[in-house]
Amino acid sequence: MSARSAAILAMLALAAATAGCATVAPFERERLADPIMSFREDSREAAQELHWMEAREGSTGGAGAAGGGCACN
Amino acid sequence: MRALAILGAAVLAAAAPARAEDWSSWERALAGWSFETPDGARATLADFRGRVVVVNFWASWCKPCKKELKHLDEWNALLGGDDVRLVAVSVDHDARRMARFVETEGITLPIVHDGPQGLAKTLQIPSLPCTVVIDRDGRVVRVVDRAIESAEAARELIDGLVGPAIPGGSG
Repeated sequence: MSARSAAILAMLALAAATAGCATVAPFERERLADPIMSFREDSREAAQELHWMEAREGSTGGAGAAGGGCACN
Repeated sequence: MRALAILGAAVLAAAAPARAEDWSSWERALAGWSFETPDGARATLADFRGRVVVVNFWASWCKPCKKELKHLDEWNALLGGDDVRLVAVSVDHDARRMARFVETEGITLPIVHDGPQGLAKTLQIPSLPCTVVIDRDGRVVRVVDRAIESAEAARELIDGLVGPAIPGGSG
C-alpha cells in the first residue's frame, strides 16, 4: 500500500470515527425542542407563521415533525 | 449461505423487542423509586400498594404533554375515593420552568420534579409523554406511549382495575 493510499484510508477512518448520528432519548430532548434550535434565524416568528398557515389551510401536522422533537405523535 | 442465514437470524433476534408484557424490571424500578411529595415528605410508589397508580411522564417543553396534563388534571379532579393515585413526573431540567407552567395553568394534580436523569432514564421510557398504569399489586398493566387526548380517555386507563380492594392490600 502506498503512502498516499494509507493517508486516504486514515482520513476516511478518521472521518467515520468522528462523524455520526447520536440517538437522543425522548426525555432528554429539552434543548432540541427549543425553537431556537430551528435552522431559521427567526425561529419563533416562523413557528407563529406555521401556526397561522396550519389554521388557514387546515393542515396541522403537515409540515415537519409534530411534537417539537419529543417523540410523540 | 448457511452462515449468512445464521447471521441473519442472530440479527433479527437481537433486534426483536422484549416481550411487551414483561415489565418486571420496570416494576422493580417503580417500586423502589423515592420522590418528594408536594407537601415535602418522602414517599415511594410501594407506599401506594393496594391502590391503582397512574404515573405520567411529562415536560413543560413538550407541547402534547402540556395538553395531556390538563386532561389528566381534569380527570384527577373527578376521581373520588382513595382507589386511584395519579402522579405526574416532570422530566424538566429546571424545576422552575415546571413550576411556572403548573402555576400558570392552575394544575392541581400531584406533580413530582424528577429531571431527565431520574426515573425516566432508569426506565428508558419510549416516548414523551408516557403514562404507566400500575395495578393494586404493583404490576405494570398498561404503558401508553402517546398523549391522552381527553379526561374520558384518561378514565379508560383504569377500566377493569378499580373495584373491590384485594384482601390484604395496605389500603
